[in-house]
Amino acid sequence: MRLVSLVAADGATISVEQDIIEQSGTIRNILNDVGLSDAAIPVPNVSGPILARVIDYCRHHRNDISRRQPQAPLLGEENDSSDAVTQRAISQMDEFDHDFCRVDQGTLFDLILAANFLDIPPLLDLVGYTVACKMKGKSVQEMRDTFAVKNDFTPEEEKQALEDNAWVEE
Amino acid sequence: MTDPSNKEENSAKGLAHKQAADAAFKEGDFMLAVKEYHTAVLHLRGLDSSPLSLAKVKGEKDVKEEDITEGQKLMSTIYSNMALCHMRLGRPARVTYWAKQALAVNPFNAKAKFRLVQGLVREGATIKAAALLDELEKAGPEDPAFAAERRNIEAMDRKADAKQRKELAGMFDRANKDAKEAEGTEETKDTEGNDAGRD
Repeated sequence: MRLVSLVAADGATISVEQDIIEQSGTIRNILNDVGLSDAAIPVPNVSGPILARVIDYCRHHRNDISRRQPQAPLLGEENDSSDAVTQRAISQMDEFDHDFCRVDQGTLFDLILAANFLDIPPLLDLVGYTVACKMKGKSVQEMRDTFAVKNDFTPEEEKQALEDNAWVEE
Repeated sequence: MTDPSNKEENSAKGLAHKQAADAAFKEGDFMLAVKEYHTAVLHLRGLDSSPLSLAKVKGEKDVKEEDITEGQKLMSTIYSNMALCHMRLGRPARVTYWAKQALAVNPFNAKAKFRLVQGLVREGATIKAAALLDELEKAGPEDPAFAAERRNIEAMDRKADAKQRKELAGMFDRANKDAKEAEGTEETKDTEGNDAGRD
């Protein structure tokens, strides 16, 4: 199996088998359009350690061939909402997937950004679900404290936002 | 977490690669243009994403044009340009793919919609292409590019019609001939049976 070289944001070069990294839609599209060459593919928005973790995740799921193709809906699931699709993905997570997310918040956020950048929907679902669980049941201020989010609303904007989303409290 | 200074650096590099891609396209080097557009995407993708907004389940809410950010418009333009490169390289499946990506990021990108029409026509999906072209023509009824693509659709439909007529020509004559041959065979069997009974 041919190797693909990736250069992370910190300059680290990682070589990975083509069938493993093709779980990334971003890389798969490059290989489809320009083919595989000796030139390394820059991954400027992902650090070396995070890229290595993402590759570990992809290596664990190497034998799931469907992950190397564009994610088309299965027969009978074409009209499912994105919520239903995400719930289905969550139900298919294994022990490795759950252990994978037992990391600090900073790493979790970096993994979400990496999964989005590399276009790996199952990983984005996995890590996104983990963050969403951390948000569950928290008030607005508690979420701000947990995720260190600065309140940059004016009093009027905050009042409008609470009114627009009042249904959430029902 | 991503360093803000890296964001500025990546944004500048991304724009530089986009300009290099545009220049390569004008020179007619479409493969180089595709490579440069991909490199631009690698530097620009995800720059305006936040982990919390990515974590939430995506709802099927209607997107308004004023909600599309400058970053999204830029990405959509790049994807649409990649579709055009693949048009020149004669790869209709990739034209359709990148046009759809452009519209996923910015559904109001009319050029991307037109690229999608062109890709669909070249893939033979003339019904889908015609429906999209109808939408585009409402906004720009005098656009000569739309008229040219409409002529392409009509020519493909005529060709498909002619092929079908040729395949179906004489179908009923053939069916009648087969039926008569079958009748003739049955009559011969009846006659043989009667003769055998006469000895």
